[in-house]
Amino acid sequence: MSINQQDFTYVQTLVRQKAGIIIDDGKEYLIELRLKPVAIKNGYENVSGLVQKLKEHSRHNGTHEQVIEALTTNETSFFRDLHPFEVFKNVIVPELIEKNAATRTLKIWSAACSTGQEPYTIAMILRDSFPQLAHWNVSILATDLAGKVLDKARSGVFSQLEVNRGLPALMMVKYFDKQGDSWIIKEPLRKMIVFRQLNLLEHWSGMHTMDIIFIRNVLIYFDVEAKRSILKKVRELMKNDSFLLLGSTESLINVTTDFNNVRHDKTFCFKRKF
Amino acid sequence: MVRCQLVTVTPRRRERYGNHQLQLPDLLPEKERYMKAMVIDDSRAMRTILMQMLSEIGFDVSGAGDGKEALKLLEDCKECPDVALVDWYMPEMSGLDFVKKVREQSDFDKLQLMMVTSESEMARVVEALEAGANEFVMKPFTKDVVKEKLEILGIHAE
Repeated sequence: MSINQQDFTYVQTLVRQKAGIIIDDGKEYLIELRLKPVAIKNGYENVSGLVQKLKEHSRHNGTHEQVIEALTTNETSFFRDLHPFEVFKNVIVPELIEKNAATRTLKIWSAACSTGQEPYTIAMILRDSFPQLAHWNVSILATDLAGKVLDKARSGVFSQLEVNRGLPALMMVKYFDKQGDSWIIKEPLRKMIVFRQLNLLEHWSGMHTMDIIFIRNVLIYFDVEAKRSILKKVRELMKNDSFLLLGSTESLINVTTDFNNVRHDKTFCFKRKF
Repeated sequence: MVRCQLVTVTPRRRERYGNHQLQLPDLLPEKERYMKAMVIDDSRAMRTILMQMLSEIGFDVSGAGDGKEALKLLEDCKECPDVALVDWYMPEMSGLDFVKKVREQSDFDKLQLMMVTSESEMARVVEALEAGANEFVMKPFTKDVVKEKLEILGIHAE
């Protein structure tokens, strides 16, 4: 049984209000696909039963969070799109090592990090290509809206299917251990990252200035006002030399003129305007 | 300047140029050389799946049923493939032995070797890399997995 219009509108509004994410009309199939497992897990035969519960318990008992997580968890892979990480390794980090030589600090934020492939990719590149950073104060902050995916990210445990996606074999050998069917990030790499829950739409407490901000493949889910609000806060965390990296298909055209972009091959890097 | 040569009409090329096999060579500028891939697997079904995937990605594809046959094909071919996708367990010559043989010959220095195998133990990955393989894909896989691994090797068929 597919979701009826009334339930679809309810979920659409809920996700927009709680997570700022737009689910376009006509995406009933997406809601059905993502929420069916949540419905079954909670003892309902179909999505309608689950939505009924959401309506009855509007001030939650964990079900709302499960629904939001199911609808906001996005596809991710190690070295996703590859080319931004080549630019990170060949252009961005060398430039910042030179510019930050006096302070010996490098602060990186992976926003909407999902199950952790992006921050672990960043950590692998730093560990593999920049041994000199061993004597620096390097911090990698990884945030996501969804607590459940952050728990998985924090655990550093990945399936064969996940390590098969985009991870160079050499990196797999260097930075993972195999236990049973699981591939586990080695402890020194895991310790390089601090994972924290953060809703991009709400107030960002405890955030500090960043040298590099990865906020890839997440802004596409927000409406233009939400994008502007997030990017305004992103801008405040950036210095003259800081870099912002968006998803390969994302652009700031018609959203904001607060950033300049510098193109390196297929990758656009953004810097704040002063 | 254009080149003339016979090429296979892959689904990707059909999409790009239409279904005009005889006219196709005239449409290809000299610079636009299609990447070549060889699939080495004793399972005909697996070979077909991989060859189809690579063809869809945009490669000129050839196939061999074991390491020995693949080595012979390599020695005889005028233009060496850019990449070979190699199964581990095969009759006559295993994938690992094939990798070792290829790495003994300087003629194939530029040939990238990617193991595509049901082996998934760390020790096997290490063994393959030490023998001279460049990448390692564990079965089961999807087209995206193969494509991403090829990109890691700097091989872009498009």
